[in-house]
Amino acid sequence: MDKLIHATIRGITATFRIPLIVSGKSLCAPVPSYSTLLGFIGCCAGREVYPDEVRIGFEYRFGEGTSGAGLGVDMETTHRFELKDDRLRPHPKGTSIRFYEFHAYPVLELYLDNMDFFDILMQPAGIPTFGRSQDLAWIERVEKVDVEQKPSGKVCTTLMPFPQEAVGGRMLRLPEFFDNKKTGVTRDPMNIRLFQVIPTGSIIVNPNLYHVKTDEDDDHVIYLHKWAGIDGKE
Amino acid sequence: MLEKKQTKEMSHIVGTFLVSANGAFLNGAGIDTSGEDRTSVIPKQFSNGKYRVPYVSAQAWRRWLRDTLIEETEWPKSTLHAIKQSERGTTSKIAGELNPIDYPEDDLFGYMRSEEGQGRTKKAEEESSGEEESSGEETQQRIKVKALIRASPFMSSILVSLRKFGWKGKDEGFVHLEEGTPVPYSTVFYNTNLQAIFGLDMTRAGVFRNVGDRIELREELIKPGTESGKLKEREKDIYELSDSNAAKIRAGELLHAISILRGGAKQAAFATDVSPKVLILAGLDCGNLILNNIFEDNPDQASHDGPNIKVETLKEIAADYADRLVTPIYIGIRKGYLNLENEKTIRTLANGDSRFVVDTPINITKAFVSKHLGYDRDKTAQ
Repeated sequence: MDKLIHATIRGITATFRIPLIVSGKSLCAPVPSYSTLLGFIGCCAGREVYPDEVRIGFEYRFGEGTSGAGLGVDMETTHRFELKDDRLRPHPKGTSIRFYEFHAYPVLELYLDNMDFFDILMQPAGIPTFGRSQDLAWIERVEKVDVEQKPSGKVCTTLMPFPQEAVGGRMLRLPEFFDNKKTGVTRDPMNIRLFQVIPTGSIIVNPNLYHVKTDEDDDHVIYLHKWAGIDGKE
Repeated sequence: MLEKKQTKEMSHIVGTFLVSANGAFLNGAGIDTSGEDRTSVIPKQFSNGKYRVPYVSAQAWRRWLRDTLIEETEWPKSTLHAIKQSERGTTSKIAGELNPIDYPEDDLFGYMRSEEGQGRTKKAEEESSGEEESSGEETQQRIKVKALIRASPFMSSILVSLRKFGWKGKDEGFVHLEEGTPVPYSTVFYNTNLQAIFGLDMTRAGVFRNVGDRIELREELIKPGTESGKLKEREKDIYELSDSNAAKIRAGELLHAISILRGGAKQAAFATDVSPKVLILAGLDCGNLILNNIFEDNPDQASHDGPNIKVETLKEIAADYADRLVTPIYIGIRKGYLNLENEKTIRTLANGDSRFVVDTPINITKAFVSKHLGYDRDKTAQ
């Protein structure tokens, strides 16, 4: 592989909800999952996109300042009702509130190996989002870049399978993708495995690292995710 | 191989707008718990990494928009109903009408009715999956777990402040009682301009896809819909409104509602006009929200000058996306709101340049809807 598509995508807010936390404040994962990114690409393509079509690499950051992160907690009113004398009335305890953590000013540097997606990112069929429907995103730039494989290098914040030796980082159990081929049946999470959020500046040794030739930082590499398998088996 | 689009039809309407929120409190975050007293209410804020920036939730201003739309059109309102009761007889689930055929609000803003029991059905399916690939009975069981979800064709960001710092004001108040000491309370408000971006997917307005796990149109609506002639099947499991103009009228009314938006919290105390002072619209053949970050705050906060439209950014967008833009970029500005020099520059943009149309926010919306959606609201009203 000697070329990748590189897209810079920005938004005002992002909500990458951590699954399985269903009570209390909804927490935002530090980076998007690969299933979220497949959904993002699928939105641009106007159809389902599966791992056998494309490999994904990404770097993610948020917040405008160089120090600290841009975080917020949104509150949404939920209206509660009760049925009294066959009529729907507001619940006497009033409305309730749900809390959602979100990132402010997110930036996603997305890398794809399938050149067919160049036109799709240039001309997205749908309006892409970073998580929830209000987390609107826009594709600022799409380009093709020359890359070379490297055995090791320095990555920016991304998501890699656990464990990565000698690198710390938050672990998340996530599916790689969702199977949504059956009409009327809730999509199936596939390849649920442990991932690790890799912090910026980490030195990684991995066979799936690529260096963008025009990058002035010779050590900087992109991790291109290797899917466990499209049949759910590693 | 992926197919490239051959035709250049308007698939999306994208836009951005600016609301003047000087002395405003449009979306509250409750009591300020950071201090010792518990008598201050604060607006919603987030950290951008450096400052606390005020904003209005998408949920909040979408409610303003829905209410404005219904008031303006007198369309039937998609009211909330109880759709499930608990064993004790109390309502455990609610939803709107879930009928995008007869309720344009449901069509434009989407809805969700999640289903319980998906896990149970799935378990039964897994137990039987070892015996046979897929039986008719199993298919029937699977259909039972359908969750009704229509993602909103109209998508909107939060309304976020242009001003990052120096926006805060505090209104100190007292409730004077007939007896006893006065009760203090205070309200933190903002002096800023709020911007939002939005997009309307015209390929989905009036189109309902029952594909994958997203069932957008209830099955019980399909038969009566097709029999009454309101609905037709475009292709397998994809339905659309028979009247090809219906989606355009709905979109036109939605844009009109944005141009005259009203709503917001604490209107009795702060009376904020939330109708856009600047509204920029364009039609595209793709869903990229190209009209973003168009506005900037006046750097000199001591002056009375208003915010700026980034003219060079707009020109760059018009040039870079010339092959994606299906319509000119419509720029609606309220006179005397922007920085005066900036306003002059914007007004000259349209001189001899067909890529831009400049007028008031309401007029550019009317012109856009009339020219590109073929819907003249004024004529219809007569």
